[in-house]
Amino acid sequence: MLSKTGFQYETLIAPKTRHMKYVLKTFYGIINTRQIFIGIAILLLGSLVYLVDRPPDQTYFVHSSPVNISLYNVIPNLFGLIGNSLPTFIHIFSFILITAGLICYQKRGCLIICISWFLVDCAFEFGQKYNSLALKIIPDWFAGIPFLENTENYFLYGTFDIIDLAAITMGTVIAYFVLLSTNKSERKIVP
Amino acid sequence: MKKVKNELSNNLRYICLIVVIAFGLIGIVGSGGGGGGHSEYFTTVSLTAEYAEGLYDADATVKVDTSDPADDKCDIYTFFADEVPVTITSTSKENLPEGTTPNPVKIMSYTVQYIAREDSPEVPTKQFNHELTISPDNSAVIWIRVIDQEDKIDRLSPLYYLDYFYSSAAQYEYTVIVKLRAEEVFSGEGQTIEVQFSLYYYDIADECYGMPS
Repeated sequence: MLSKTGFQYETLIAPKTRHMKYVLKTFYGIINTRQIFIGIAILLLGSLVYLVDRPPDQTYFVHSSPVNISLYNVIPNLFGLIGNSLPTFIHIFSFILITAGLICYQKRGCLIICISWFLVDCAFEFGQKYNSLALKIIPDWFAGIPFLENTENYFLYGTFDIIDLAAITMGTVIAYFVLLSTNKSERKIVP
Repeated sequence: MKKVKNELSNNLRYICLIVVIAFGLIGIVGSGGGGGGHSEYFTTVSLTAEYAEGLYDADATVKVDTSDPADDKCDIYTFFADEVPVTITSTSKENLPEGTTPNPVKIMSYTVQYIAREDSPEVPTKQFNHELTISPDNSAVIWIRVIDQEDKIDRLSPLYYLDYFYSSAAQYEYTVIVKLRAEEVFSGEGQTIEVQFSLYYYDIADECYGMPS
């Protein structure tokens, strides 16, 4: 057993604890917690669409959950028609904010992050339209791995929707402006 | 030493970044960012109830009528069962991948739930077994029983509409929800769909001896 006053704590544990504290302090200093928090909060809000408004058997993560997390038909529909494309908007908006909160300091970096996520989301959306091409790329070892196993279904049964593309564009643009308004001007840059 | 610690902080940041990107991509395929219109079926089904909203006549008729005022049995009725046509339409999905054909859907059973409004008496949810297969891009009509056959004796029945003097008029109101589970043949993927409509339920005036018609 080790005690705080013991020899081993002072010589072995305490320096490591101080070291970890310093690393975490520096980590918190260089990330933008405000952007990350907004991103996570909006993402959680978006997940309500799947939990409340959609039948559980239409959403992989709800359907494959070991416990019933669906609130479909338990509480009334929350989002109405907007719920069809709201998750697309929220997904890109949130992940741009979280990513930028972790690594971005400047306008240019934010723009790169926005464009990257925009391309990724558009690629997945177009993959539903040209699914025969998308299906060829999916490796066989995805089968049986949670979440990845749904990739084939996503392209095979998902529907390309032009409104989703509009939601992706809107999410990107709004996220960019939110990033600009929440960027830390005095952000420390680690050498 | 400080440089090493700063490097560790940076590494921690990049580890978090990788996790975020992984979650972002998983979120898309796990339907997190896919948007509307996801379905795991080739054939989707929809329901339409061909039911004109309004008063529904319970269609009671006198079961025993001696036409003798001394032996008036006018308060004994039979409510005949009544049904509402519900159209089930199967629609094959657009942009199906090459080599895939939409499957027929199979209906096994349906439930009819009554949500009583105001002071209308509660009616329990009923389940009916009704097996039916619908080919893609076709529709079928099933008759959903909304009122069961029932004997009504005197004014004890909750559905008594008019008394002898037209002084009481009980009209009962329900929101009827028809829920139906359809399974795509071969793939076995299930879809639960529902349709709801209002039901106003009442008895027609008696036409017994000595009573206003």
